Amino acid sequence: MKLGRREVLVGLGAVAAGCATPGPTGSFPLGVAAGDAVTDGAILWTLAPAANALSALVWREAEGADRATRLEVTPDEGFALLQVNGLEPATWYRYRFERPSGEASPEGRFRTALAPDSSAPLIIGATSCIKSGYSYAALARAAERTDLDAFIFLGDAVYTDGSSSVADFRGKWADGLGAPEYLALRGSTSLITQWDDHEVRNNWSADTVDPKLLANARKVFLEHQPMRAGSQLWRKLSWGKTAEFFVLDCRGERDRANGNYISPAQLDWLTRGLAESPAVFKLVLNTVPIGSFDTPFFAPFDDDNWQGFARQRTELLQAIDDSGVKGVIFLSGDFHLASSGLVSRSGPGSTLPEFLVGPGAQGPNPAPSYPGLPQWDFSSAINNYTTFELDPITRIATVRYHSGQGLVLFEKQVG
Amino acid sequence: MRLLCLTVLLTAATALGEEAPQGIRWKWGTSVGLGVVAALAGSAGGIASGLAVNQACVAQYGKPQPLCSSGALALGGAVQLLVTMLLVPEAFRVDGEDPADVRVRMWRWVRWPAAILALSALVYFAGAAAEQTRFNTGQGAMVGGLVGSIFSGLSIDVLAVVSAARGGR
Repeated sequence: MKLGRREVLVGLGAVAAGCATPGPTGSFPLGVAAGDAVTDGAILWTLAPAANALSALVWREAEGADRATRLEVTPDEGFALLQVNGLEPATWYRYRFERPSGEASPEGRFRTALAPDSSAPLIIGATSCIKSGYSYAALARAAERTDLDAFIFLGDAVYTDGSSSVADFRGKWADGLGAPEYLALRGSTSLITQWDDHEVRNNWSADTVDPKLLANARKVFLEHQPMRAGSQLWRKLSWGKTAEFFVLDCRGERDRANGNYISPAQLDWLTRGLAESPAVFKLVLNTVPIGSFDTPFFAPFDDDNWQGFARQRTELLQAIDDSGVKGVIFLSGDFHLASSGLVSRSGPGSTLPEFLVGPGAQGPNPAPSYPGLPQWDFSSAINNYTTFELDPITRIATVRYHSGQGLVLFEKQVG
Repeated sequence: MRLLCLTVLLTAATALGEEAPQGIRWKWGTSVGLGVVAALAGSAGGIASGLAVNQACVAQYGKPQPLCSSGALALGGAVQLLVTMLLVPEAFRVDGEDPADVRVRMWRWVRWPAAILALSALVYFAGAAAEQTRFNTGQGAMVGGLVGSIFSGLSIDVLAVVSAARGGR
């Protein structure tokens, strides 16, 4: 067979086309999601490529779609974010989007937050570190549940490493979120999301990353999240007197020159918020561990977590200790391992629990020894999701790690 | 890194030619090249067998086990040494050498990093035994053993090819 220049060029073009990351296709290729639920509403999200207008239908789960409220939304480059208000607290709702042609998205569901004076129990799911190519079985098991009042994605929800342009990042998000298990989980309840490093670049820090890259990554991250975002990504979500979620931005405000892991404003907001919170449980969504992982196997990574910013770490933990506030629980991710333990062996933080959630779909942390007694009572490399059953009457939180095979890997109660 | 070191070695051995200074008889590129490939095969075999054992333990226990990784390290080192000692001498058949003679010549050099490798594995084992019982009681020894193993493993690769290529004085 003769191969002329034309044939070679055509062949190369075909290969290049095949290697390119495909964009999302279909009417609603990444399903739907709801997030940052408040007492009277939530933010609804979808991607509808090429759509200039969409309708959102919202109805009580206990009723039917024929009693839906119809709202109009104008997508931006196909990404639709809709703040829904006027709903009842602590109520399950269903929703879907429709194109003008009548094509409908899959249905999603969410529960509005508890009323401010409510002390009802809650079940919250959580995971982190979800990489395309690994088994999404743990996500599938979480998606099957109908009792999760909200689900926390604690960073590294998609691995966008190597991206630079907006199109690159969008391609990685489409690839990461496109799996049926992931779509099902995102549509199954309301989400509480935050970014970590792989939404931008491995172990990035605000003071070292290329600003253009960061701007592109941030834009695309927010395009895919049902969350309220202003200039800052840290925020608080309140679920009655049962729980408050303090969602930290552990990456975007780092300032090594001044020893700041998070901005002074964020630290002040956190310490004040914890001290003044009326909720029984204060969950600090931390993305990168605050525990004293300072042993030889983990110390090389201290520069990327709270350990490398000792002044702020001590200030935060000391403030929590000094305030005497109870019910503070740290949730962290990033490490590709699950663990249950205390923040510190001694001194500030030695009574505070920290749970590392995930990995949801990732390879194990390569350390040859995982955290254990006396500071930690559980650790695992098995892909998983975690549930937090929060009972404000007994003031006990029951924490369970669930495998993709439906097994409970570990259970613990903290109060 | 190993590939880089061995490439440099190969280049140097080839550049020196058959008659090197001080009367050392160096082999030409073909046998040395095959020797480098054989040494790399030894390293790859060692790493692969060690990783396989470690991954089996992770699958079994849901997380890495220090003692298991100690066994994996020892097995990996043993496989590397065995494959290197078996294969590298065979590469010098192309120069008409008796592999048995080459093996004897190699062992004079390789036995020292092999001894360091065994010692490193023992240090790692001691650390792993402590670590298995209580977290962060043996990590320093494990790190030391790991560093020693990497250093000695690399040395085995390099010295195996160098000693085999030197020929007789």
